[in-house]
Amino acid sequence: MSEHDSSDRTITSLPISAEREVEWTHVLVVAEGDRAGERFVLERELSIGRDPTCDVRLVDRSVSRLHCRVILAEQRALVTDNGSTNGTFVDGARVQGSAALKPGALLRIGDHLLRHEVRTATEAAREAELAQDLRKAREYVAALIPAPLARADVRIEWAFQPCAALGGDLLGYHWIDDARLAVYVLDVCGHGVGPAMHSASVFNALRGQTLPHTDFASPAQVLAALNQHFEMERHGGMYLTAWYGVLELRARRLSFASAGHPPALLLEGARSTRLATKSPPIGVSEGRRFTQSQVELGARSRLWVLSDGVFEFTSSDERVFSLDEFERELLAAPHSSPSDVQRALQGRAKRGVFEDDFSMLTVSLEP
Amino acid sequence: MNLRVLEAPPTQVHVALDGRLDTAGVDAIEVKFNAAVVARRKDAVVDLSALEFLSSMGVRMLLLAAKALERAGQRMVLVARGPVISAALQHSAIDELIPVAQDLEQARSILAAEQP
Repeated sequence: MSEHDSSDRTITSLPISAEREVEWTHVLVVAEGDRAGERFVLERELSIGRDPTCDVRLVDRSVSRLHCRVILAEQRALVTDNGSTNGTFVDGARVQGSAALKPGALLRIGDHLLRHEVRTATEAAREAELAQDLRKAREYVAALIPAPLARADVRIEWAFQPCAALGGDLLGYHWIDDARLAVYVLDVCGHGVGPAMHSASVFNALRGQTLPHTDFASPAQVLAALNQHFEMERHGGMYLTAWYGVLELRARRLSFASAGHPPALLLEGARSTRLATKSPPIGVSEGRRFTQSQVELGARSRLWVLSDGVFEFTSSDERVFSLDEFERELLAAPHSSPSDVQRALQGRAKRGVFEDDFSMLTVSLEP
Repeated sequence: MNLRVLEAPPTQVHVALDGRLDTAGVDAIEVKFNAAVVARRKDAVVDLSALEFLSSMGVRMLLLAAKALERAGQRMVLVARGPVISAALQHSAIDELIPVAQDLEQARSILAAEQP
């Protein structure tokens, strides 16, 4: 009984003594940028910049060679700008000299965003393991996307930025024959490795044109085949939205179909046309028939295919950005590249953060 | 993001959502929503009239709950007014899978009409 009493006392005193003795680990987590998902433990000091000697090397033209440094002293993190050209920002405010980096603070350096996290050693180790899995999944997904295309008659460009939690977006194109080109954007609902891998499976079925008894020049047939093969009850409750189009380059015609997905935008001069067919997402409605539509393309048509992460984000003035606003941005600068548009929108987003994957593909037809 | 459980006939549940049903909103209420709507095994009226925003993650929460009810032989009807939420339901085409009513009376009529 006395042993039991002793044990009880030990248990009640543990949290207090554990709290006093716990060793906190300070970590900088890359939330956005080429190295998104990577974690850097801050023991005493981390140098950040473009120079190969930096502890955190960011290959980014808007980052200075020796951009800034973060120092840990008495469990407090402090960031000091080294006189960088484009500045260091903490929670959106430019650092003048040095600034405290509180737990949860966001550090913007060029196109990279790093978050300051404070964890126990056990938590830090577990999160490092999870981050490693996410990083591998992110690299795999990014490697699937085909390179941009530049020909005399057609050009394809894209911008793709997975969110920190990794969503289920993917975008791509493939040739059906020498005159017909399929373009598509997919979005598996949810975040994490599962949706990303499901998206990769669907993407591979499209790119490899491996759906049986399917004419890949028929968008309605393609969506129906995906709906049959990727039924949500047999895929862990995951479903996806999709936009799929087929361009006939000589005829200058576009056939398209969409399933629960935002419309693509066709820009011709000062006019924008929303291209969508109304069908529920892929995988939720067994035996569903899909419809497709067709448009003729003008001399200098430009098609923008996107995921909802492009316009569903909170702006810096706390509003939710919208498809209408996005469309207006495009019409105001119709010749921008997807990367230019991505940067402009990032500047509008609260703390410069997109809440979902950002996927955007453009097809430009030359006269 | 808030969820209110409202008075309903014994064979139905009636919940109302207000705020932004985005990723953070779903994180905040999904467990409560599933407990109030799915676990009760009754027909459900989900009122979205006071929602300010409905993202794809919000659509996912509604869709998964509707599918779970359907598997149990129950149905869900949404109540939506206003251009923002109606547009979100239309874009996602979720209105082709879950009936959408203009008000509570119409929602109850839909459930009564679909009574087996």
